[in-house]
Amino acid sequence: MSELKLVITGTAGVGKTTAIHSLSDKPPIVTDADTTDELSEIKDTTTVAFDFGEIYLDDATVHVYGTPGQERFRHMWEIIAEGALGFILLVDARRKDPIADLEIYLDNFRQYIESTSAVIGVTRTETEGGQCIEDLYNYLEQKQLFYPIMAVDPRDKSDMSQLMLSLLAMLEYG
Amino acid sequence: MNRTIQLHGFSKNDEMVFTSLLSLLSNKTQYQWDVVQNRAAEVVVIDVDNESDTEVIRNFERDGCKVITYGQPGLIDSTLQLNKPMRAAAILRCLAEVSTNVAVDKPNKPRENEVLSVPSQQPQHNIPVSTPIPTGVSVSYRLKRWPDPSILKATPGATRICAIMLKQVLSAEEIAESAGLALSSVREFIGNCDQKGYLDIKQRVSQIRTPPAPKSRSNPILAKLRLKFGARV
Repeated sequence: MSELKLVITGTAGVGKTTAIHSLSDKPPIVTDADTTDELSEIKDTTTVAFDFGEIYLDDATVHVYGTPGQERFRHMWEIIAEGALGFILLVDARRKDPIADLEIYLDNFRQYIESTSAVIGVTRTETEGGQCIEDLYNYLEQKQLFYPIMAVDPRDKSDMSQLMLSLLAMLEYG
Repeated sequence: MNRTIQLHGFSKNDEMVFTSLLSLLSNKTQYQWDVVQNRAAEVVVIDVDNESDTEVIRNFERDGCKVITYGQPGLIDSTLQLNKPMRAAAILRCLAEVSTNVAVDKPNKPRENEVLSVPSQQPQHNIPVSTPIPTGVSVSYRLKRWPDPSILKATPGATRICAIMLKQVLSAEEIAESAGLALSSVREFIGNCDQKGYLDIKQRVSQIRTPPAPKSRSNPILAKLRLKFGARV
């Protein structure tokens, strides 16, 4: 059996665990714990180690890992990223500074993303999503980085499939 | 039946963009349009930012030419007008309007000069790897924004085309070659993206060379994943 892995990362509460639910063929393993800091205002629990789902193919299983969102669990990120096939970066359009959020994850995973590829899914785009996506594209262009950016609802399997297909296209042709 | 169109007062870049768009749109227009370099064309598009002499427009009209004006929005007072920047949808609208006025049985006027370039939009099959790219100035494209799902679903292999076009400025032929897709599919995709303003369109001098080999780093696992998530090709 071959083993491959994909990594979903982004800020706490952005929808990583939900995204893994949408992509995984089996109910994902989650490592949630009660929130203790300012995050408790927006959600009751948060991932403290990693979430883990599986996509079954004929003769292989692709593992999908979600990193813990809170920066205090940053030490876990490299462990999860090592050997990943590609990265899905989720950005919450309703947060104060989505560009700064993206920058954190692009910087942290840079060495891994440069040797693979990434796609950026923007969640909670109901109100100002269009402008947020435009701002993120402008930021990437300044940095001479070229990754797909699209609005996604992590609960929607079709959105997540489209995100996954974009990542696969970037891995194969980008 | 082919129709003739002439560009007057156009910059080289706009001329190239117009000619390229016309080529891409040729399967959506009522007639096949040939861009000619003389005043005997049935339709003339005048860049009124570069040609402000209204007498020139009148002369074209006196010669029986349908005039489409092209310029900055708000500065043109004409029913047949194209606003800058040039958009495929606006070209289609203008050509549809003039097509109703250009009589179907009207013979083409004799051409005094050569046709610039509007290749036929007949369906084409995958280009062999060894096909040389012709020399000359070509129009190349880069994708500025990942298209919305409606565009991705309209053309099989669109996601693949996007990945190729996101980082590089390439001609339609080069994209087709890299993606291993039919040129007609690539042109259809480019036309759809242009209508939404997703493209950077650039003019580029191409040399005789072997086109890039297909870039795919495909492996069986990625192919299976693609199928799993609903890719058609």
